[in-house]
Amino acid sequence: MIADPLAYAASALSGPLLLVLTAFVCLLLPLFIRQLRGTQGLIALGAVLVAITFFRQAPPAELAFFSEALLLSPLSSYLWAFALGVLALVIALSIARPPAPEENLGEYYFLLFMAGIGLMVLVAAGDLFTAFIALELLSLPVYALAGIRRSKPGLEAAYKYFMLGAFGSGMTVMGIAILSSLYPALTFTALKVGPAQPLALAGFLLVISGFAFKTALVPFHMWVPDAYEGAPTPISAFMAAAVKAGGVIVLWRLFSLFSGGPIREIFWWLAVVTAVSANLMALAQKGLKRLLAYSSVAHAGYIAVAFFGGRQGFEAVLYYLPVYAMATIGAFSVALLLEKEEKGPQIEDLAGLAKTRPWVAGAMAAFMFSLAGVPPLAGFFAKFYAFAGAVNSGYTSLVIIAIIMSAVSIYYYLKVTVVMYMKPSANGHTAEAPGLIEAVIFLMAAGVILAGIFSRPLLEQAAEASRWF
Amino acid sequence: MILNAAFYLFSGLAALATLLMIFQRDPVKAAMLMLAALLSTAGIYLVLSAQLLAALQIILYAGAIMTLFIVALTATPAAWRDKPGRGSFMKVLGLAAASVILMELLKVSTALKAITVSPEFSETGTLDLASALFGRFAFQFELLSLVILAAIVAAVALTAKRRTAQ
Repeated sequence: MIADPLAYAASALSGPLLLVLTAFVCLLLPLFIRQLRGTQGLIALGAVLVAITFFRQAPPAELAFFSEALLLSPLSSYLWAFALGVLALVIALSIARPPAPEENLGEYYFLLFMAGIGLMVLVAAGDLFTAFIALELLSLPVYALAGIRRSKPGLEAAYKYFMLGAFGSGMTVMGIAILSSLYPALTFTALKVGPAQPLALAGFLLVISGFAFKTALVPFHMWVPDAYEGAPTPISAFMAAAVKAGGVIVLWRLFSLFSGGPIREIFWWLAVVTAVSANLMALAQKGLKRLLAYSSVAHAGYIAVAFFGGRQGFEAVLYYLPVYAMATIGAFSVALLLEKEEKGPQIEDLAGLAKTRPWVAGAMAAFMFSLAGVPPLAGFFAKFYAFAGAVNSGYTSLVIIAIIMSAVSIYYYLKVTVVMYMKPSANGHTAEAPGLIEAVIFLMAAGVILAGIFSRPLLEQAAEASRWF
Repeated sequence: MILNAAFYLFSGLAALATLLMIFQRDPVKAAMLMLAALLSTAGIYLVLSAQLLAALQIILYAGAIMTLFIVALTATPAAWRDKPGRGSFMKVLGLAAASVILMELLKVSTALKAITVSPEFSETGTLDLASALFGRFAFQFELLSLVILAAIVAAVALTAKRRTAQ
């Protein structure tokens, strides 16, 4: 038993509160103190690192706060650690290549922090209402961040993302309104024990479509390629790693309310359509960021397959999220490193990278193989556990489709590697002194390799966290 | 009896205005029809004895947001010339999607008939709303303040004039 739940809550909540404070510091202080202009990134990174050190091992219990709006448990602390890690990496990338003009850096970090807090609340939300507000807090800043450079591709990305995101939010609100007339409490526990009604089905469908927008499941993925391509690359990495994770957690909470019936069937179809069409569409992509965008949609499909594995599947999802985040943040960092124009490098631009920068090429190959699921990299084990859970629950046909499409995906991931190693360099990469981006790349490469070879520790953490759902 | 009649009158007006709005090609006329729809919705709230909601509907939606619409329309003359296209394929697709949603709505509304959602109208006053906002929903309320602040900062960051854009 915990000695003092309030003491734990105070220490756990001080992390997000520190982030709120730092967001305001980044926004306001440089307006008054001229010397601080341009250093917002360092302030932000320092604050996130301090917030990580605040982290305590959560007590083995679920503590509900604010009339069950916020649930603190080992699950929430696992996901908060994940969120803070992603935030720190994105900030490090933003320091290396400022994605916004200096005068807008304050707004940039403020919005990034708001999105980070939104993610943290979203994964700990105990009811649908809070989850929706947290989702808005997560997505609204990201819409703006996509267009923060105010260049043409950036604004197009922001506009498309905003329009489709607003549509998704509208559907979610409609669904929540229907559900709240049936289950006034709206907590996930109340939804679970509530009697099944045809009207509830309509509500759940609307809510699920809304969250599927954020997770980018086909057919709710239309915004993904343009948004990932036009947004500043660190923000694309944030979208792929963080925004998706938030959607996945809520979708799992909704999915696990049902043990059968039409909702499960709909998830079955979402998973199949996503895995098949995203991989097929990725085959023809020429831009690296576009390729990663379709790859992100495909991975959302694999995660949806993992849902069918029950508790074991959820454990796999929790392992999958950081593993996927490491590989995709690493790959986006390589894109950032080679970026000459806003839409990021073409795959052809990677030619000859193995000659000029062998270490970066090696790291990129590791990311690609991890995303493709080649042993012994972490991506293989993530897919293995995800699919194993679904097979154990008897969804063999679903897994067979996912494995076939996963094999298709090897083609386009391998294409990147082949271009790096086999093609002679066309324009010649200039060897620069290694900086923060390289540090992030090598950190992620080490993570992808180590989390694969020594998958036990991370997997145990995930298993412990999954018990507290 | 008279309340029922008023309810159906306002509902019919709202539906009619919305339909006319959709088929209106002139943006200003469409905005006016939307205003009519919003006002009749306020009428529905009044019939349901939700006076506060009706007042808010008129002040916020019919007042503030519609003004914003009109200002935006006058500020962007391009929107006047930009008439929607007449692509027939998209129209068929849209009609198909609309009919699917209509079917769903009919299905749901038959299901809705079977259950009584709220048996009696409650006298929701300002006090109840405030105590809910600052009591049970205090956390969500504070979270919303961050959402709104983020939206304001985002709008400023995206539209303010560049200081160093020489």
